Amino acid sequence: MSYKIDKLDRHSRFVILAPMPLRLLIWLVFGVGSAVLPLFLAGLIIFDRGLFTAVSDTWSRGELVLISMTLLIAALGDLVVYATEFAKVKALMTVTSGFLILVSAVWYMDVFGNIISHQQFKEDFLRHWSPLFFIFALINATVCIMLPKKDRIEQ
Amino acid sequence: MNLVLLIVSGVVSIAGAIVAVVAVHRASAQPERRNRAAHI
Repeated sequence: MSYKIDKLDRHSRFVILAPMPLRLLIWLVFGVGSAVLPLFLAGLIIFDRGLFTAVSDTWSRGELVLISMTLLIAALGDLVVYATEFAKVKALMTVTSGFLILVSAVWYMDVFGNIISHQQFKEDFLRHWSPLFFIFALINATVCIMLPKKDRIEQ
Repeated sequence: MNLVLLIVSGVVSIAGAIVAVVAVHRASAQPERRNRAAHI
């Protein structure tokens, strides 16, 4: 079952059917930009308190893993909700996104659980490798956004 | 274990992206090819 996009208001229709570069720009500015903004704010606070040692201070407690998870879920929502003529690609990207969401959820739960129970958590791993995971998540999420959409919403 | 998960995530993500981009590119190139053949 599907709903025609004609029923939507003009702005919603424009965002869904916008050309791919524009959809990417909207995604980068409002999706990725707003997701990464808290890191800059945390960096400012750390710097202001005189505790700044490295840029990785801002993501040493799993922040980038959490950001990756939210971006992946948002992109997966965009992929799943709208119909596309590339059903196989959609299925593939759903599986890969699901896997990455699962990995990020497990990592964040592990880190957060250790932090609140005052146990040793994998800070070095997060400092050095979570940016790489963020890049992988970003690649996956961007492909989900880039996939051409049809003019209807799947139900 | 963490590094293994990271590597698997990277492989899954990049392979998925390459497959998706190639599939979409091929599908969008097909009508052009068909049009060109019809024109010739």
